[in-house]
Parts: sequence; C-alpha cells; structure tokens
Amino acid sequence: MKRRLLGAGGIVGGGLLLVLLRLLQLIVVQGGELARQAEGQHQQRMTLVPRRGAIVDRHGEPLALSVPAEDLYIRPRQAAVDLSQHAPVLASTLNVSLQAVTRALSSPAPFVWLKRQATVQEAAQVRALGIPAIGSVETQRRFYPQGVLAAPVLGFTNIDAQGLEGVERAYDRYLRGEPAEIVGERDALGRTIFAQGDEVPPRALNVRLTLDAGLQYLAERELTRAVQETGAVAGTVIILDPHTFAVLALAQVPTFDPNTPASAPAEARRNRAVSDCYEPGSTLKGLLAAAALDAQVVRPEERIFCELGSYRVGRHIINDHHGYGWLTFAEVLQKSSNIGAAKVGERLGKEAYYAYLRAFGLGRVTAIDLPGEIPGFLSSPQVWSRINLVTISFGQGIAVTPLQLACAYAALANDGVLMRPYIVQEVFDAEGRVVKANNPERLWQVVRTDTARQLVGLLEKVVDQGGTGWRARIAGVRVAGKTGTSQKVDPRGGYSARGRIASFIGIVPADQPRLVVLVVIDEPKTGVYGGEIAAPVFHAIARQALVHLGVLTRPPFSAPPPMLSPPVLSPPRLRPVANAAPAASLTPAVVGGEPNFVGLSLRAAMTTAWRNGLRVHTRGSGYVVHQAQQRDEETGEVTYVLTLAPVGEVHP
Amino acid sequence: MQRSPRWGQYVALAVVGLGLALAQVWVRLQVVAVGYALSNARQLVATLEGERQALEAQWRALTAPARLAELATQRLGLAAPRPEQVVRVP
Repeated sequence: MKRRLLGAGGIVGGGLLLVLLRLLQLIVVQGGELARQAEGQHQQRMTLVPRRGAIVDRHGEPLALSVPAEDLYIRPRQAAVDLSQHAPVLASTLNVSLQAVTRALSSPAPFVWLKRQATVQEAAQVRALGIPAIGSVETQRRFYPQGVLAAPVLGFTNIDAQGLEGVERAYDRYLRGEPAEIVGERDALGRTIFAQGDEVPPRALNVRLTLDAGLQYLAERELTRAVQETGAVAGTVIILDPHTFAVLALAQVPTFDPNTPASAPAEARRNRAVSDCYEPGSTLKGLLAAAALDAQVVRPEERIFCELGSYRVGRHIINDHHGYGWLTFAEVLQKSSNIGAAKVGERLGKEAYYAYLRAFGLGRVTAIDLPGEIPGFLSSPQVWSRINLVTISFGQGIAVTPLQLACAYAALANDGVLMRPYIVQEVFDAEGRVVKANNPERLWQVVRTDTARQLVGLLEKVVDQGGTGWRARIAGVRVAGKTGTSQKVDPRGGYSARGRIASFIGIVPADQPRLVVLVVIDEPKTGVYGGEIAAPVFHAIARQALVHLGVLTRPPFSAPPPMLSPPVLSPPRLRPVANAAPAASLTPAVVGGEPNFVGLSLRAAMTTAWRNGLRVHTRGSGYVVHQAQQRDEETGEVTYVLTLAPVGEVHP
Repeated sequence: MQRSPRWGQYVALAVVGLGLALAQVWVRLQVVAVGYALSNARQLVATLEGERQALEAQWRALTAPARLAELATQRLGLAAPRPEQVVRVP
C-alpha cells in the first residue's frame, strides 16, 4: 500500500515538477516576450480627441458650441448586392442630393464618404435602414446657435474643427484642446473592458467674449435696417466700453452664417472693423481739435475766419458745404468747417499733428486679439506737402480702420488715456476656472485729462440744434459726437465721383461716458452726409443700448406727481371684487393713504409702481384684482404683491 | 490505518491553494464584469452628455433673439416697444 502511495505520489510529484519547470520557462525565460505579446493582444491605445470648447458672450450666452456628429462612409466593394436601390431613401434621410448619393453608392473606390458631420439622429436613421457596407466614425460638428450674430467676430472652423477665422482662429489652441491617450484592455470582440484613465474625452477650454449678445443683436438689427433703407453697399458698427476698451458689439453688413461659411462670398466673411480702412472725413476733426487744444495753439472761443466757404491753398481750393465767415473754434467743430479745420491744422504743424495722430493709435495696429488687422494708412510727415497737412486736418489723405477711430474717441472719453482693445475676456475650463484673463491694458496718455474733457464738451455742441449731428440727440442723455462724410477712393486713381461714406461717432452719456459708438455706412443712396445717414442709426442704437444697460431707466418725459395722475387707463371691464375698490374710484388712486393698484392693467400697474419707486411682485396676467403688502423684516422694504386675472375670470 | 498528520496538512494546504486559485479566478471575472459595466456606463454618460449638448444647442438656436424677433413680428404681428412703453421694475 505504502509502495503504491509512494508510486502515485512520485508520478504526481513528477508531473507537478514538470509543470513547475514549464512555468519557470514561461515566466522566467520567455516571460518578457510573452508579456509583450499578451499586451499587444489585450491592450489597445486609444486617442481621445476633446470636443472643441464653447464661445460665450460676456453673460455666458453660447455663441459657438460643438455637438456630437458622425461621419458616414460606405465601402461599395464590400456590398455583395446592388446598393443603388437605396439611393432615394438615403438621400432624403441625409438631406443630400440624390445624384451625390448615387455616385457614392456606385463608386469603384473602396471607401467613400457618404456624409460628413451628419447629425446623430441622421446616423441612427441610416443604421436603422440596415444597408450593408455603411459605417460611421464619431466626430463633432461646430454649431453657431445664434446664426449670423457676431459671425465676423466668431469666425468659423473647417470640417476638422480647426479655427479658420475670427476668434475661432485666434484662440484655436485653447478651443481645440489637447488630445488624451489612454490604454484599455479589450476582449476577443474588440470591446473595451476597462481603461486606465478617464474614458470620457478631455474637455477643451472655453472662451468668454467681451461682447454683449443683447447689444450685438440690436446693433446688427439697426445697422441692417439702415443699410436696407439707404440702399448702402455695406455698414459697420462698433460699441466700445471707453474705460476698458472692451468691445461690446461689432456688427457689419454684409455678414454671413458661420454654420454655412462656404455659401457666403469672401467680402461678407471679412471682419471690416479691423481689416478694412477708409478715409474718416470730418470725424478726424475731433482728433485734430483735441491735438490743437492740448498743444494750446487754439482756444474754444477763439474766432477763425472761414473765408466764406472757399480757401486757396497753393493751386488747390478748399470748400465748405456752407460759406461761413467768422466762427469760434467750437463752432468750427459744430458746423464741421473744413476751412476752419485746415487753418487750425496749419497752426498745429505737421510734425505735432502727426505725433498726436500716432499717439491716438492711427497708422498702427491696435493689437486687438483678432486676426487680419491692418494698420491703416498714415504717411510720414516728411512727405507731407502743405495741401497734405490741410486735407488730413479734415480727414482726407489718411485711412483708418473703424476700430482705430473708435479707440481714438474712446481715449477722449477715457480722460485722454489710450488702451488696448480686446474682444476675449477670459479663457476658462469646464469647471469655470479661469486659465487666461485679458485685463484692460493702459497704453499711454494721448492728451491731458482736462483737454479730453474740454473736447467732449465741445463735441456735445455738434449734437445740439444747429450742429451737424443733431439727429443723434437722445432725450434725457447728454451726447457728444462728430459726423463724418468722406469720398471713397477710386481704385483707378483719385476719388470716386459718387461713392461716399457717411459716419458718426458718439460718446454717451457725455458727462459719464459708458459707451463709444461708431456707425459707418458705405455708399448710401438716399443721402451722403453723416449727420443725415449715420447719426439716426447712432441715435437708435445708443438709446436702446442705454436702456439695455440700465443707464436710461426713466422715460424722457417728466414723471407725474406720485399717484395723483395714474397713467392712461383703458377702463377695465371688471366686475368688482370683494376687497377691491370699484373701477370708478380709481381717481385718485390713493385709498386711505395706500396706493391702489386694483383695476389697473399690468402695464399701468408697472408704470405706476415705477414712477413712484414702489416695489411690486405680480402673479398672473390681465388686470389687478387683489393687492397685498409684504414687508422685508431685515430691510423694512415694502413689496406690493399684485394678483392679476384676465377679464371675465374675476370672481366676487 | 492511521493517517499521517503530514498528509492531512498537505491536503489542507492543497484545498486552501485551490480555494485561493478559485478566488483569484472569481475576482478576475468580477473585475472583467465590472470593467464591462463601467465601460458601458461611461459610454452611456458620453452619449447622454452629447445628447444634452445637442439639445442645448437646439434650444439656444430656437430662443435666439433674431429668431424670436422674426416670429414676433411676422407670425404674431408684434412690434418693438416704444421707449415710454418700457418699464423697468424696481
């Protein structure tokens, strides 16, 4: 028995020894090589491409997003059946032409794209059709939910999500993000079992613009309306914050839809505010005036003879639109006399004038964080003749970009300090942490503070009755501004016979500047003067912008005494409610020392509360049927809670 | 016949070893199963996140001021309020 056991034990032990030796061979001798082979079979390296970051406005409103999409392809040779029968249904599902689908299905190529960047829904519908040899690759699609809004600023991307224009290009390295590589184990079917690292693609960084989508929308709306009404070929509007030089709105016509950039011509995609230049015309007189006042070569009340409208400079004759005699320097600005400006320019001298223009940022790029900026044109004073000095004094013979001019006037509104304009406020990650911030950057003092303030005061007269820019006036707000009318340069030489550019640049409120607004209308057909064409556009934009920003909070008419003259009411057809005064007792609207809102429409109740500085909270819609007071225990503020009901739904 | 205590120890050791080996296999299977579940869950998260982003994009497009203004003016016949009609509630 013992022998048998020993025999069996020997056999088993020998077997185990063999196994042990084999194990040693596999682990120790061949271990390294086998481990590498196993790793190759079980593990896969995956590159996760981050979804492109979002672009949002200053309040977080998304202007550009990336959404999941799929690239659909077909391998025609793999299909054993005739695929052409599926062409109609594929064409309608994918919203592409039947011709293109038929061509793809019958292609002799081994691999053909059926549709790039198809929506996830489209891809799912195609998969449900069960057509053989069709596959897909996950990708992303850039989507601009607001359509044309701020399109030249945003720019666009190509099909591979690379920024080609605008902020998409300037901030591409942040928006694109860094791909991440992970290693994962896979099974025999190629499915990932688990990965060493996060399988969710890394998130790229997002960009917050200085633009205010609300201001941008109203600027685009008013500009589009003006261009249509005047028959102009183009237009530009810039709204700047003069204390930071943050661009709040940058609108242009023509523009394009960044969702389909290829369908727009190149001139619609170009950002005209930074890539186009024009002769500023009389808007440059504001800068001349600032320079002349700062250099103390003229005083506002100083009288200048304007030659009755015709002034000879060598063999050239300078004309004014009206023949003026003696005008004060303030009136030269107000009436935009070319001759008055020419004489002041001559007094200032070309070297000094050139130095001031350069200091205002003309003839050099502003260095805004947008691609494609040009420096405009400002020649060296060494080559200026007398006539050059004279014409540049009223804005001819010099070319500026709209942004340069807006910045120069923003410097005047900013107590003479020029800053670098910027359009991106910050770059932030998915958790909202700021990775890069663009802070306002002071460049230099162009003119003294008192000069800048004095000039803004003079520019207010331009908008007064009798000034060229009176159409820019806004009731209840002080406005400073300057009109401009310039001839367009003819590509064949000289000036165009009919092409004019009408412009207006203004500062509001003039006493506490919040906005600098530039309006440029290119080749209007219904008129030519800046005061006639561009000033009304400025008025419309600036007034609404001030309401939007809460600067203009009260209507431009005097408010009636509290509660004694309720706003115009259409007599509410209400049956009296139990605790409400009847409609007939609404005048006066104060009952027992308490304001009485009952019976008023929502609008009338709001207006009444607004004019009397009362806080109200409303429920429902229609007419006020009940009111109650709520007092905040901490602040002691009283809020009137108004319950409203539509006519006919009031129950006694 | 009296069994030698050494053999009992060997058998016990073998049973323990077998148990450990089975436990190792069981743990490995669990890891794989959890790995599958985790991978599926992550895929689901990614898909749902993608759907959320697509829906958000759609919502933003539908509520874009330009579109609302067009609907208000052309379909509903509304007009922008005059300045005196704008009331800012304190």
